[in-house]
Amino acid sequence: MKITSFNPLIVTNNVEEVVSVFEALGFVKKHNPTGTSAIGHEYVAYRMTDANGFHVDVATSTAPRERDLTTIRMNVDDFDEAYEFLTARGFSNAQSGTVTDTGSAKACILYSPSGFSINLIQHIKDHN
Amino acid sequence: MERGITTVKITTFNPQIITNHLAEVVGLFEALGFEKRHTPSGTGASGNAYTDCRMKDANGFYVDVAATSAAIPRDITSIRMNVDDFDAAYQLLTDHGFKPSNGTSATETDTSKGLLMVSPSGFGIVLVKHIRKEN
Repeated sequence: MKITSFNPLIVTNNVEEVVSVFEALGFVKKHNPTGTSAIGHEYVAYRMTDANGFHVDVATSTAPRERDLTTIRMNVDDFDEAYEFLTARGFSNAQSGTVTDTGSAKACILYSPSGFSINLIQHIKDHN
Repeated sequence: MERGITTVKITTFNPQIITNHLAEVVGLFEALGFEKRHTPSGTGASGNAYTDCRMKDANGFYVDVAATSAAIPRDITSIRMNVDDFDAAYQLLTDHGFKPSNGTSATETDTSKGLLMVSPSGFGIVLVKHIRKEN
């Protein structure tokens, strides 16, 4: 299993304000996927990059949220292997065991026993 | 309040996990292919002892895993952000409503200055500047 992206991801209901902080720090928006999660929440994500090649993702969803969630965006080349790896070490699926599958990507958030989380993603290259 | 684009240069930007379970979290990232690079330790401005394990994988990705003697019910995930100008970055973040975590001041050692700052909506940035020794 190869890790292909590994950077902070902030899930927020205040996306414009959070994006503006990173724009002020020199990050620019690169792309902007939208969709619906496996548990029915619509989401909007902004992938941002700075001049030194650092990345941050800022995502918002229709799920109510009192405080921002900071997690680790980890893209891998084999979602199923990474999912098995993490759940075998006690990670639990925050989406009631479901995986969001958009056709172009598989994703879910997994929580460690001590409380940090990883947003596990695999991009599907040959989607229609 | 002026909130323009900064001239601060970011030199490090990666996830940082603050935990009471250092060995367990480090063990997980070792299993994912990360290796320990260095492990500074000390006492923060709040009086809590800390150990910060910096880890890197073969693709150049970094994660910091920091143990604290403060009891925390759940791990805290934040952004480790090293900059070349601590004061300018501090000003930029405070202009956006960030506040030092728990009201603490920056932790200063012979080699670095660091402070966890929290945004109005709740995400955190560990702001760090390394200090070069003249001698």
